[in-house]
Amino acid sequence: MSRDGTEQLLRELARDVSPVRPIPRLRAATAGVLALWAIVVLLLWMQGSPPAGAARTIPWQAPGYGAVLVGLAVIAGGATLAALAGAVPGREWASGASGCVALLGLLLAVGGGLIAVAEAGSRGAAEWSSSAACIRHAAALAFLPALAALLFLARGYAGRPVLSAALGVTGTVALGAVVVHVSCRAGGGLHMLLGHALAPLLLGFLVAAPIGLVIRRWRRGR
Amino acid sequence: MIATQCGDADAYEQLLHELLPHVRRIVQRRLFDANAVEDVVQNVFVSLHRARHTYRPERPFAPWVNAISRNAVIDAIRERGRVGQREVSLQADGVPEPAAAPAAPHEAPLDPALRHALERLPAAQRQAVGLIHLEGLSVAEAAARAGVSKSALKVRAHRGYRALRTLLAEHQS
Repeated sequence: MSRDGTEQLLRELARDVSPVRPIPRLRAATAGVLALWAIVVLLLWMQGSPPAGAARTIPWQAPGYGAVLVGLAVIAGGATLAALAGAVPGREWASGASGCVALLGLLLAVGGGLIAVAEAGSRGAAEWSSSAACIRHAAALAFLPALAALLFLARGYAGRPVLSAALGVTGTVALGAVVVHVSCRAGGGLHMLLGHALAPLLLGFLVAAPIGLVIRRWRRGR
Repeated sequence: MIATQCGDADAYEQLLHELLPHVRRIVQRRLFDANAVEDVVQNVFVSLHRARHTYRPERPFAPWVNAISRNAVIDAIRERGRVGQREVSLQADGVPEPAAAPAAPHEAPLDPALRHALERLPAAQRQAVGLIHLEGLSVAEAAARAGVSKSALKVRAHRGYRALRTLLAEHQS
C-alpha cells in the first residue's frame, strides 16, 4: 500500500468522525465495581447471610486465616485495578504495577492456605465438596462486579483482552472470596486453600479465554 | 483530540496528519519488512480511530498514541506470522503460475462445470482466482486490483483452488 493510500485513509477517517463519549475515568470505573460489590454484600447481609453476630465468631487465631484474608483483599484490589487499567491505552504501567500487587496477594493467600493445611491438616473428601460450595458462593457474589468490569473492558481498548479478562474475573471473585472467607465456618486447611485462597485464580483462568476472545471479536466487529 | 471527540472533522484531519510522521517512525522502528510499513501505518490509524473514545482529556496524549500504535504493530506482526504459516505457494498447490498460463486465458471458453463451480465460490475467492487465472494478471497486479496485500490475495486464491477442487470432485462423482 502506498503513501497516497495512507493520505486517502486519513481523509476518509476524518470524514467518518462522529462525536464520542470518552470512557469513564479509571477511578470512577473502580469505584463502580466496588460499589456493586458493596450493594450485593449489603443485600445479602440484610437477608441474614452472614448473621449479624458473625463478626464475633471470626476465627482470627486459626493458622493462616489472616494471611488468606489479607491476600484475598490485595488480590481483589490489585487484579481489578490491573484489569481496568489494561483497558485504557497508555495506562499499561498502572496495569502492570497493579498486576504485580495482585501476584503478591496471591502468594500471601496461597501461603496462608498452605500454612493452614500444614497446621490444621485435611478432613478428607468432605472438604472438596465444601470447597466447591464456597467457590460457587464467591462466584455468585462476584457476578455483578465482574459484569461491570468486563463491560468496561469491552468498551475500552485492551491490548491483551484475555489477560485483562482473567485479571478482571480474578479480582472480582477475590472480592467475593473475602466475604466468603469471613462468613465461612467450614474450617479445615485444605478447604481454606482450595475454596477461599485459590477460588479467584481457578475461576479467573477458567473463564478468561472465552470472555477475552468474545471481547476481542466484539472489538474487531465494532 | 478533545475537538475530535466532539466530532470536529477538520481538527481530526489536522491531528491525523500531524501524527503521521510520528506513527510512521514507531512502525519503522519495529518492523523489518519495509514493504509492509505503510500497510501497518494504516492499521495503526484505523486502531486510533476505533479507540478515540478511550482518550481522557486530563491524561497525557503521547502515551495514549504510543500504546495504541505499539499494540497495532504487534497485532500486525502476529497476523503476518499467521498468514505466513497458512500461505502456500501457487506451485506447491499444484497450480501453475500465470506465466505458464495461456497468453489470453480469458478468451478461452470455460468448461461449464468449472464456470458453475466458480459461481459457487465466495466473492473474494472467485475474484482472486478470476484475476490470476482468467484475466492472467500477476499476483501483484491482482492484489492491486482487488485492493488487498499480495499475501491476502494468495490466501484467497489458495482457498479458492481448494474449494474448486472439492466442487469439481463433487460434480464428477
